[in-house]
Amino acid sequence: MADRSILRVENVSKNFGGLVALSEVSFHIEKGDFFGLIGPNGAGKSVMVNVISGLYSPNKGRVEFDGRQITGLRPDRIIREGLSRTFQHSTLFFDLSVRENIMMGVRAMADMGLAEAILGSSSARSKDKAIEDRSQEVIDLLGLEQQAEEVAANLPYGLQKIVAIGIAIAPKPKLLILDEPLTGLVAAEVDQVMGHIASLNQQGMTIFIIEHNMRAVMNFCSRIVVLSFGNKIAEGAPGEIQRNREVIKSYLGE
Amino acid sequence: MNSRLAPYLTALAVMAALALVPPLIKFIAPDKWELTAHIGIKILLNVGFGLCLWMMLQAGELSLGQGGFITIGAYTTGILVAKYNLISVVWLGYLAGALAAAVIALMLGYLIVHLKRIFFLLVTWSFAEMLHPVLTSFEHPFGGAMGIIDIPAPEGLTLFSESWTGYYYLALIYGFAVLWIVWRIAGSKVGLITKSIGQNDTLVTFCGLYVRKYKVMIFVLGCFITGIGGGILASYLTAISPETFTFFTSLDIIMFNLIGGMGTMAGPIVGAVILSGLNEYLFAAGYWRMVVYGLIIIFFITLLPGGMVSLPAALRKRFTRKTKKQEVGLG
Repeated sequence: MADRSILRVENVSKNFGGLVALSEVSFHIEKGDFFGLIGPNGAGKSVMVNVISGLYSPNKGRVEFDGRQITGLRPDRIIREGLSRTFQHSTLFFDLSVRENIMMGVRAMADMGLAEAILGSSSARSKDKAIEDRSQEVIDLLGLEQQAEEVAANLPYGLQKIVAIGIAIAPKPKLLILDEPLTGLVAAEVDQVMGHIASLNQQGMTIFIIEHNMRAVMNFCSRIVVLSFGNKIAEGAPGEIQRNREVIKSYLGE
Repeated sequence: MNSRLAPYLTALAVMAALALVPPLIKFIAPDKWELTAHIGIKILLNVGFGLCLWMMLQAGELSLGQGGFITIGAYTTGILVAKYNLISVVWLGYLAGALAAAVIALMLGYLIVHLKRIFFLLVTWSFAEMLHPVLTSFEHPFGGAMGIIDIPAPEGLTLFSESWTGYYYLALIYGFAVLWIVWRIAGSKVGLITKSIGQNDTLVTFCGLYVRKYKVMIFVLGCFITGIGGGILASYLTAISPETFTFFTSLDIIMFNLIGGMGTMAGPIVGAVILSGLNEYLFAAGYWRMVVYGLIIIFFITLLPGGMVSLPAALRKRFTRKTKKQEVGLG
């Protein structure tokens, strides 16, 4: 059982001054899962993602990724371990083209040295080619061919969200964390984005999604954890979560 | 023609044209050559300094301390080559000056590159200001308030009958070498990373890249190149003192980017050409120079934030808007 899990969150607590954002939260995600984290606004979902990805360090508890403790590592190191994340609001390099945005995500970008960049050595050219090939693959995969040379700021919101996913999947992560990828999208865009996410999952990528769109979460997720005021109140398959009295109470009140 | 080669050929053509300026002026108006060479040298070195800052600006680093790194390059060269004769080859003195600037940039950069905008500006500015009292207070090795004198010309420059021609060609090579380096970086993946950092450094971090490393790298490289220019200036001026490179040196380098525009590499080049020329006349204006500077800064920030290179587009936009208004009026 232990070797099947890709992410282990153990007793994580996070306070901001007197505010308890997360209190002793534990859960784990197994390889290949389509995992959902839900909860009312202010439940601590984004804080959890920020703790996992190293943006915040937890006051208590630990996070293990692919058998290795990642608590306290620098965010860029955590990303290089094979974990990618997107942000709640469409976060892109708005002045760059779609292609350049996706290139930024490619793992080989980190290997490019200053001297070889200036001299344009054969090693630089082969790295350039690897980066360009991988970004082209991602563009094809997400159907962004027509917008590839477009400046990201000019894209409709739905496509911006897809480009953000493109940056995140460019390094071929083992785990993809999506923080509210559907917020602000119209129904057709929701189907398009969820279609891409589902096909990534079918190709073997573990998905961790935070979302308010219950229909999408219940249709796609295999396991769900529910947070409320920083506490884990439920965990299970979509059917169980929908019947859980605690969950209904936290969403609708008494 | 191969489009990849086009920018290189253009640069080579411009360089060749500029290389023909000395014989041409010496032929037409020999008595004007000294002044022309002086302005030309200033412009070409300033193009280098402006491009270094442009490269840093891409990564979101607004340094008001570049004059300090020119000072470090100039003083290191002067101390090693002239005051103590520790290095007999002047070219190696320039290299030592550049390395000194780079080492100090590395230490300072490691501490401050993560500071955003105004804080980075404040620290680089105060760093450059710190040099003045230090240089003035110590006779050894800095030469105190008198500074360092008799800084020799680099070997080989005596090839020319008078030194201005030699320095002109040296400055020409320096300016175009910096242009080549900055151009290569801007077009590379490192340049893409730098530009991305300037736009959204958090997202760069979550692309798995260590932002601090790249920011330090660009800062150190920019200061290294600026340090070489400082060494060349030390030779050219033959004497340097704590008053040689001031706050205005640093401010000028920002102004090149402001006046020319920061959007493209052409910006700092255009800015350096305009302001270096203008400075020769403003020098006579004394205190009033600051008034002119103030007006220039206000003009560009409020009316032309994209700098001179954005002027054609801005005029076109204004012109078309006017005609549209007229059309509405007629309708």
